[in-house]
Amino acid sequence: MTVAKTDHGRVAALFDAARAGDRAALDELVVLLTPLLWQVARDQGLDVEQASDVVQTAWLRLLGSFAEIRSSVALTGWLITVTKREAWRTGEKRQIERPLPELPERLAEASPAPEEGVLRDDQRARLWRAVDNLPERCRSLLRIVAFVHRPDYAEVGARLGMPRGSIGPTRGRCLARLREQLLANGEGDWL
Amino acid sequence: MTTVEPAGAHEPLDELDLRLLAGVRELWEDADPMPDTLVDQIRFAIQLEDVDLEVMRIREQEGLVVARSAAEQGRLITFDSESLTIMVNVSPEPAGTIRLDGWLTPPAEHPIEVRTCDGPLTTTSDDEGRFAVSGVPHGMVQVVVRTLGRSRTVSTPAIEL
Repeated sequence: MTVAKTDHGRVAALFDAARAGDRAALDELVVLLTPLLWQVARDQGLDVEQASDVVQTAWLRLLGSFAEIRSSVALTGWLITVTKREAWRTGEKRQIERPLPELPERLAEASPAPEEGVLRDDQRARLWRAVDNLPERCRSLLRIVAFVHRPDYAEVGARLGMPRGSIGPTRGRCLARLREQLLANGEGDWL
Repeated sequence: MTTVEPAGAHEPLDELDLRLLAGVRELWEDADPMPDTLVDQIRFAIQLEDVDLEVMRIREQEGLVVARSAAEQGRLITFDSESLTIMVNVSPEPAGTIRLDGWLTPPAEHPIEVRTCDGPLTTTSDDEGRFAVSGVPHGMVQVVVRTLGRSRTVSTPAIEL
């Protein structure tokens, strides 16, 4: 089973090409990394319109900033930071109370994944409940990290203001909590 | 109160961790899906030759509360950046196209490009900072100001009109 949806080697190659002025490579980076930035913006409590503008602005800002970004790992971190900063500027309109949204039925047709969904239907509800039980900080961290390709975990954790070791290379506190909950009620189902 | 470290926090990530993360991603994709048009909107917006870019922010919109895609009645959109403010009044034309009436502050004559799905429309603001472009097709629109005397280009985000 494939777990990582975003191939890190691909992002690295695209980054080099885009920095050298290859527009097609930049377009593909947009396709690969926008889902991550969308979650970052929405996690800041922005509505759909605001989040769309903020994510677009982060990409526009990147056009003039390629020179200061050293690597594809730094690119992910840079985009997250700019998205968060732009989200903060939209200021007073943010929702403060953010209950976890209700989990809709599987959107199989709407979002054809490259591989079949990783969760069985019974696992979906259980995992969502476990996410809901996490402290908000952990919920945010895992929400973002779930959209990041693996070698970037540490960089992204740092950009999100999480202490070193929050995630990657070790499991970290948030993921350990999530596991604890899931394995406590129904050992084996997840293995 | 002491924080109890959950068991296994210092262990390396294993297969189950990665599967759970993939599961979390899947759930968020369903619970908070990205708008279908967002990627296209961004790709449209970044097709600029200019790299020294000052990106404007949408400060306020008047005349519509619900859907920004509704350009049926006039509406006023204000964009802001460090050096420039643009107020744009959007009004419908009989032919089904849109007319943009803009006002730049500080006022000056600048070349202006209105990027649309059918290609760019160009004009120049007058010495009071005013400009008008008619016949703008519905869809993605982005206003680009190539300010005279400065290397930086000022651009609004692409918005759906």
